[in-house]
Amino acid sequence: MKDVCSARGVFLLVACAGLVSCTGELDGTGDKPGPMPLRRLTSEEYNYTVRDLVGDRSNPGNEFVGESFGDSGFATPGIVSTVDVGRYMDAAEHVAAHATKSLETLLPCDPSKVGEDVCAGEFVRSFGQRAFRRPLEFHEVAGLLGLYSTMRKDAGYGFGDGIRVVIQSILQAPQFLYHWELGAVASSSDGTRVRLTPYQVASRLSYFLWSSMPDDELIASAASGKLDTGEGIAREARRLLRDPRARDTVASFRTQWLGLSNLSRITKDPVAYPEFEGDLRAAMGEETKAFFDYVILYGDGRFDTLLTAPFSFVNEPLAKLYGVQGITGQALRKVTLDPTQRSGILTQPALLSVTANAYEGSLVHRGQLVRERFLCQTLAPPPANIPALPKAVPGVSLRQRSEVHTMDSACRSCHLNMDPIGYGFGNFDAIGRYIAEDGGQPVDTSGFIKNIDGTQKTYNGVKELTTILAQSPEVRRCFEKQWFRFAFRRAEVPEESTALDAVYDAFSRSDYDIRELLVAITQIDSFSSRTLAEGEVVQ
Amino acid sequence: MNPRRFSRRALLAGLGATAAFLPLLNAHETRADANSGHPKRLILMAWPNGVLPEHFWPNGGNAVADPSSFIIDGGELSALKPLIPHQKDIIVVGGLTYANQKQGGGHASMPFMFTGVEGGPIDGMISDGVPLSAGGPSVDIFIANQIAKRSPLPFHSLQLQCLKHGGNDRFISFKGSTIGGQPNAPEPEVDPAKLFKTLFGGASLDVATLKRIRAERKSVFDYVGGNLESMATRLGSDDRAKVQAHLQAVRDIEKQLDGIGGCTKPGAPDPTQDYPGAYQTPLIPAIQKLQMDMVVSAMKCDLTRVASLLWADSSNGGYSFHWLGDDFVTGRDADDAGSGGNLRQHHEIAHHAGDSPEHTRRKALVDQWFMSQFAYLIQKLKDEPEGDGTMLDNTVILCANIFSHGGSHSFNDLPWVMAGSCGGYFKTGRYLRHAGGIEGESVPQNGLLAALCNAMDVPVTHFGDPQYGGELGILRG
Repeated sequence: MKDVCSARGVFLLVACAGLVSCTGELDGTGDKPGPMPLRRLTSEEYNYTVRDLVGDRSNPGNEFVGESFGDSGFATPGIVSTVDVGRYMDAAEHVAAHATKSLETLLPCDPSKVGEDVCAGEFVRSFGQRAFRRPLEFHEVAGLLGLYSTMRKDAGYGFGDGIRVVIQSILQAPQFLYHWELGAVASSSDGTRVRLTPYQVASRLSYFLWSSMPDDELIASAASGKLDTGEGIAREARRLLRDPRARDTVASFRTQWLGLSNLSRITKDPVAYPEFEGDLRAAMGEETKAFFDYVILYGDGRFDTLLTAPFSFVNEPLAKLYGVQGITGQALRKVTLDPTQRSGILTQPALLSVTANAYEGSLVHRGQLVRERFLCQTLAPPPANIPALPKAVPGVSLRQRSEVHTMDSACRSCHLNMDPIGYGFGNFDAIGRYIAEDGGQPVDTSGFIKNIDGTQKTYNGVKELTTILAQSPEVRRCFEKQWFRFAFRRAEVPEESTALDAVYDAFSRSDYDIRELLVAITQIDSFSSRTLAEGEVVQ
Repeated sequence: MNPRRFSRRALLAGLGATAAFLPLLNAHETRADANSGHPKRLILMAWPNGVLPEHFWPNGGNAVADPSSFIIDGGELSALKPLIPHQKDIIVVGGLTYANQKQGGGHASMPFMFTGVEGGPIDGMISDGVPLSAGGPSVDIFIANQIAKRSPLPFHSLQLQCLKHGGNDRFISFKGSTIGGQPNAPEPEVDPAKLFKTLFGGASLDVATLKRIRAERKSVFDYVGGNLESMATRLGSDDRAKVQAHLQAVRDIEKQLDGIGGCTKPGAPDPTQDYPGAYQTPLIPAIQKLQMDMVVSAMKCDLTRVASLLWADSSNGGYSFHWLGDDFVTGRDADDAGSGGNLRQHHEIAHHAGDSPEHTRRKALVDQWFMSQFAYLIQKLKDEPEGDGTMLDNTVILCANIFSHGGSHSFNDLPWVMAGSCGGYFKTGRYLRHAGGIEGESVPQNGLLAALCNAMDVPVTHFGDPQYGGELGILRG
């Protein structure tokens, strides 16, 4: 603890008092926390953060460029270059100019009463704490006020323009742009383990569960030591999950996990699927969003429901696609669908459309999605120079044409992992409409899943297929891993296997309630600690 | 020495120089003399998905005794047909390969093609499942950094791409090896409107406003830079490198604030268009044209001397060639079933070339279209008089496909074409069937990259991985 308390700053006494109890208890599992590589806010996180910080809903982050999908499979901004700095500058100038148009709502004080410079000081402290997601260090306040007075004196700016430049600077500062949140409250380090500060834990919680900055209540919890225990963190996690902002995280996870951002980009044969462009495409996305929000945040929360629910949310264009009668207008309504045809997320038109080609469904892409995103297994890339599938001829189904994949020895070893899962989706065309026949014959939807839970399982029809997946420990484990990777934006490391087991135990004890899975992730060592980075000296 | 070009900059550079740098300044003057006082420029262009070799190479792909007398087939499917008016200004370089790339097919080649060195592991992967990025700087950035040491230009170099694209395979230019599992590559600019604002935005403002904005931004960047500096001291080595890259980008953009304005600007992009927003956008030809126009203008104003343009990404599932006719928009072939699902997109066109005469024709016309873009840039540079000649005379363009064969994605015998002599360094007007001199054998592209450095007056003995040899002398004639 000496290291911690020797650091500078007035906040230390409070923080140290809170930390004393933690350092001795961290090794309960014998496990180690993983690394926490420095990363920037994603463009989504930036959008939600400026929305919550100054009420700016213009989504300036949409102008940012090129996020990679690192080893987590979820968006990870890369190394900053001048184009990024230029985008940050544009966004900051836009947000600051917009925010200072209604200056009085931003300010914690009345400059005409307390004086402009005093009020600027109050603003820097309160706004700075929200933007940096922790109390400002003394020198940070001084730096921002120095900038303010330079603009006032040297540039001849008025009070409002001075505040504008302060906001502009804060929004381009690394303390805002990076997930870091390290201020005067020092980290405590015990060998290679570094305990996160309560403010870092607060931001971990809010960016994990809201994709945005902490609210005042969460910062207050950090300040008062409520985040120093697992119970305290869990209590806040549950509160965050009840807040509407949790929908932003559910959306972000859903879109990236299932590759649904492609929905706006795909093209369908306009002759065969004239209805796709327009209301239907948009409705598909809305349906899946409503379904995820309902299941995870408002319904029973169960993983099983996500994969096998016979209901969905439907408006008029979707009702036509589903063949449901009596639904008019654009508003979505919860309806029960034919349970022999539809079963959870994998049978929704959005996902069926992005895993199809322009003319017809795709056994390969649907099987591949299940293999990679639901079983977390990686497939080797396809070899070069693949011949095309045989041409469509009347009386021959897609499945029959695709059998070349599983007969041909060059294709077989990989395609056995995909196509026999894809057979289960043979009733769905390129836009996810149910078709009873293909190539003039009833669709054969029997198949098998190779290499699942260490064995091979056969099924007949999509309902059996999704039920096997929903009850598979390997699939549940994969779902856990996907959320872990989303939360930490990195792949799990071997040292975290005990922690992952603990999360899975909690998930299983709750009868696979996704909300409990999320809360359990906040309870592991890696959520509130990290390993010391190479070459790092904790100050 | 041309006093118009060097008076102010040379003076500033000279004032700041210590004795140790004086030889460099002298060398600068010597080079300027050799080049009639006009700066030399390098433009890299990369395009994906290989070519149809039988419709690409001159002379039907056969070597000729006199490389200066080669024939570009002017037929309907000829890829190089748009280059016929520029035949005297180009070198068609056959027989190159990526000796430095040990894994994956042509989609994975982007980090290697202009760096010539295989690099560190990255988190995630680029295409073809290869989790490796570049191992050193690309030739454009390397040259730009050397030029910056003697001529402080507002923009060291420009990196442009015409399609907004996430993922690791959006880079052809690299600053160096991987940092903390991420490619160390400058983000390419996609939006022509943003590019215009960055390069020429200052020119449309009155002097007082411009001065005020610059001062304000400088203050903000000083503040941001100071914070990055103090943050860097509290981090581990990987994270520190990330923050230092951020700091460098802030310092670079500060210099750009001095550069804007005071230059003849090209026409502004249409402000009502959402250029990078649309996927499968019919605006692609407009974006490419605007980017080329602005690169030429920026170089004419000497805002920069180095640029790289990436026309898509490594596989380009991103656009269809609507502008080439209805056949490129819709039309159902059973062969397309099982493809990625985008109608007639570039990657599928490449894979299916040869399946039928229609498929082959489509691929040939796509290759030809890319070459017409290259021809546009050549013409654009020729249209700008400079000294006794044109800007093209002081420029070298390397137009490089990311791999060779559209169907197999191999990277032997890369279809690369150069244009411009770079101040008389390269002997143009030739078709070098086997750049290495041996029939049927490919030589590493490193030798061409080394030649680009030497042509740009950045002397090197080799480029990239040293084991792959020095300059490919045949390019000089």
